[in-house]
Amino acid sequence: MDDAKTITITINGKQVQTTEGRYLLEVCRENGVDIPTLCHHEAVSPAGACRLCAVEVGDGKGRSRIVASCIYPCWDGMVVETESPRAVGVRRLVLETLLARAPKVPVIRDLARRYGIRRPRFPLENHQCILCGLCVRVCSEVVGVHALSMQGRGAEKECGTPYLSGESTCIGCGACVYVCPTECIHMEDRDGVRTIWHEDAGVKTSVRQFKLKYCKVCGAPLGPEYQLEYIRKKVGLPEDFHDLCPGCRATGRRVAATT
Amino acid sequence: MTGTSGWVADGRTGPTGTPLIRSPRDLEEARKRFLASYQAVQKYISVCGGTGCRGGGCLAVAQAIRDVVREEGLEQTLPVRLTGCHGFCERGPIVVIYPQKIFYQQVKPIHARKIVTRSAVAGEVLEDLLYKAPDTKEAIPHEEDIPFYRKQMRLVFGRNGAIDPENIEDYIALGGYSALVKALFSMQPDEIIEEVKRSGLRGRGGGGFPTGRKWASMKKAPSPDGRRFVICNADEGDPGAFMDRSLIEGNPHSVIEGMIIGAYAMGATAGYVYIRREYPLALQTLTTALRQAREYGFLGQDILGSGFSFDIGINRGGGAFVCGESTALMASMEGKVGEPRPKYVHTVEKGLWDRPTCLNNVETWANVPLIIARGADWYAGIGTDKSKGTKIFSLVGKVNNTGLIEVPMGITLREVIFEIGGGIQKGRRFKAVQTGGPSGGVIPESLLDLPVDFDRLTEVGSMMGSGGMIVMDDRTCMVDVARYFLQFLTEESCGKCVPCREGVRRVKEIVERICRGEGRMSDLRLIEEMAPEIADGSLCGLGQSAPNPVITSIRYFREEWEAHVRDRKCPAGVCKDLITYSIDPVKCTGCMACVKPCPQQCITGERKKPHVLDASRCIKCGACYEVCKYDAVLRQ
Repeated sequence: MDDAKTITITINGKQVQTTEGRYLLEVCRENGVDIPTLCHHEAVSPAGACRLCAVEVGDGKGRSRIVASCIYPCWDGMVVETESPRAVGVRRLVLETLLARAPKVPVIRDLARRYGIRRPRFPLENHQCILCGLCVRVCSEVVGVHALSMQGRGAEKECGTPYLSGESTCIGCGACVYVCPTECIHMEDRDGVRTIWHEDAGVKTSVRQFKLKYCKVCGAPLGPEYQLEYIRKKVGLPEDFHDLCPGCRATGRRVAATT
Repeated sequence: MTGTSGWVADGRTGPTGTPLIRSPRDLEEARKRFLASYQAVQKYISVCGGTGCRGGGCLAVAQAIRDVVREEGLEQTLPVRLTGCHGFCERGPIVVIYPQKIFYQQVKPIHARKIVTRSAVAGEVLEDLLYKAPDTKEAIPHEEDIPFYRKQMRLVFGRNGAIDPENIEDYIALGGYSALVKALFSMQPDEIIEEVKRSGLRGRGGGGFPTGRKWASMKKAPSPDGRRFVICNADEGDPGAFMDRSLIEGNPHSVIEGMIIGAYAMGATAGYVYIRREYPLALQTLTTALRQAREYGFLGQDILGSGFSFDIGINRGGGAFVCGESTALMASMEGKVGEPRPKYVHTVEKGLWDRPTCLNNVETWANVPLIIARGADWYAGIGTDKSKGTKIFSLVGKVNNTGLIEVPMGITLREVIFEIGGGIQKGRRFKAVQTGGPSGGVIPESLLDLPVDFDRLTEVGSMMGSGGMIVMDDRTCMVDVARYFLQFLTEESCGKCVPCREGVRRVKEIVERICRGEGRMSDLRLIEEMAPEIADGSLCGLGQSAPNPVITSIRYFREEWEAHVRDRKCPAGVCKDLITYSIDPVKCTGCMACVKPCPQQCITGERKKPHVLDASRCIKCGACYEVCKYDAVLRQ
């Protein structure tokens, strides 16, 4: 499988060499061709969900189709047009419907403006979540705790912890907060407690609180207890490992943790 | 043991767990016995046990007939067979008297006595239970002479009425599993694939992809651990479609035999049937059939002594329409959320658990034994240039003879609707036919002479789909039909990709607005602009084909759409916000017929004097319109 074959593809008229089977979006970006995305993140596997990365791929003989470049494997001789009328048509449809769904979200507004959409032709709604699924993928693929999932389907689809209740295997790491492109997952550390919640159309769901742990010597914040415990067990660290912050551990000012 | 021939109990069976049939010779010997016992019963009563007839009360009919048979002391000489679907659901419950093949329709339990004593025993033909030709009123005693059946070519469905689906011996008696023997013992796997290729068989689930080519790709695809799968897609979900259901309910072994042949040809190690949980009867017959196939030696280790081992499991779907899409189906089987993934890498290379997987529809699998038994040349002789064989359609809607029909590819829509279907109910005017379910489109009267095959239906903007055919009359509003399918798709979209989840929903909102009389002319342009973008941008077939119903409706019925938008009128009188009811004082005879059914009691009047309808309280249910014999209730 690893005998990677070097191939030549054409992106917007320019010939580019790459390896067979690599995803087209990566290759385009490496070659300075900008394609917008909302559901893509290099830390997780591609999903092809937002369809913003639509491009037109042809065989150079007149046959072409629209594909999601984030998940489309490259093949020798393919001819790619990233800004063809058909590709832009799909991108504009995606942006216009998303702008109608989430008109206040800055990243959507900026992208829509870039494609000349100021006011959608559909009634406006008040969502923030665009159901891109990045939080779900990062939680299962990177963190490995599977606390989040999509639930329901079609127009009723929602994103969050099971039954949106907050009861979950979440460890409070905040990776989902970090990857969310529309900033609809919130995190707040206050009075020794971390709160994480998903907020969409003014409704808070999946609300969960975590007790934070502090360094026993200097009092520096270390993170949620659940997360530290998860890391400790996963890596096989001693039980008292997270009593101290890295700084205090390094200086060797080890104080008996039992006192 | 469920066998009826007594063969099982004659001491030839091995110890428990050993299959009853261990070689092709065993099978031929068994077949002789089964056929003898099948034919020994010349005279029997067959009651259709399909879902449609069950809905009509066939189980009570069968029970009543059995009771009479017992009372008359005829249990030994006059068996009662509960068979699979005969197809003519409109006329159910159906009872056929063998060997004369006298076809009784709309039978009720009170008819049981005369069917047994006068017809089955005394040989009399009961005129009042026969089907009567709608035009000549002539009674037709035999199934094959009824126009509904005459134009059909029932290759796949043919044995449905002749076998008990819960008895494998019936299937074997009538030649079942002989195609498997031929495949296992006298054909190389590649020969089988070549035969399927040459037959021209195309996927019956909707896409119409050449089956042989799919099999060949699957055969070539490497598997890291040797595991390879075949799947039967029985997640039939199109509104109004029930052919896969009836096939599994009526003749499950034809599907199983097809899957075993395919598995052998493609080197599959396991098979699965993904079947809707909403199909309890199909699930039951399939479970029984798989158990019997295992007991008799067609599934399991070393099938018929060929050295080939294979078994089939059942997966029940949870009711999501999108899980009929192959990648969503496989995700669902893996225990994941039923969402499709892009098929840039085909499922024949990386399917279920990332192993090579060949998924075919129920009807496709059921065609395989026919092709192997009778040869690709025979099969390729049926149908059109690029669509071979027959196709089963569920003919429903405003047509006289609703039911399941099997016709050769290339038959015209007109033949299907007016000859087999017997025309439009109540002599009304044909308006359109919807094929291919939510992925298909509406086809107008001007295209009635279109030959039905994969490519021709696609050319006119519809598609074959899995074979739903919904006939509409002049009282159907095409805007409302588009609204219905958009509503269905909005609910059934998995919601993963934006064009399908957001785009289809927005088109639905626009069409709903048009139905309410709040449309603008720019709306039609907007829909036409969005449709190709949704089709281009969507991840799976559901979204890619979602605009078809609305786009064909606008293309062929633009005047009706414009009437809704420009004149705020619904010509068919369906969209409630656009119609008003009133009573024509000249035509009204004062018969009082409309006064009683009105749930709002908003019609007042005395006998023999014109009535008055109070429009301010009217909820536009149309009850008065339906009962008026004088066309005096006006719907505008």
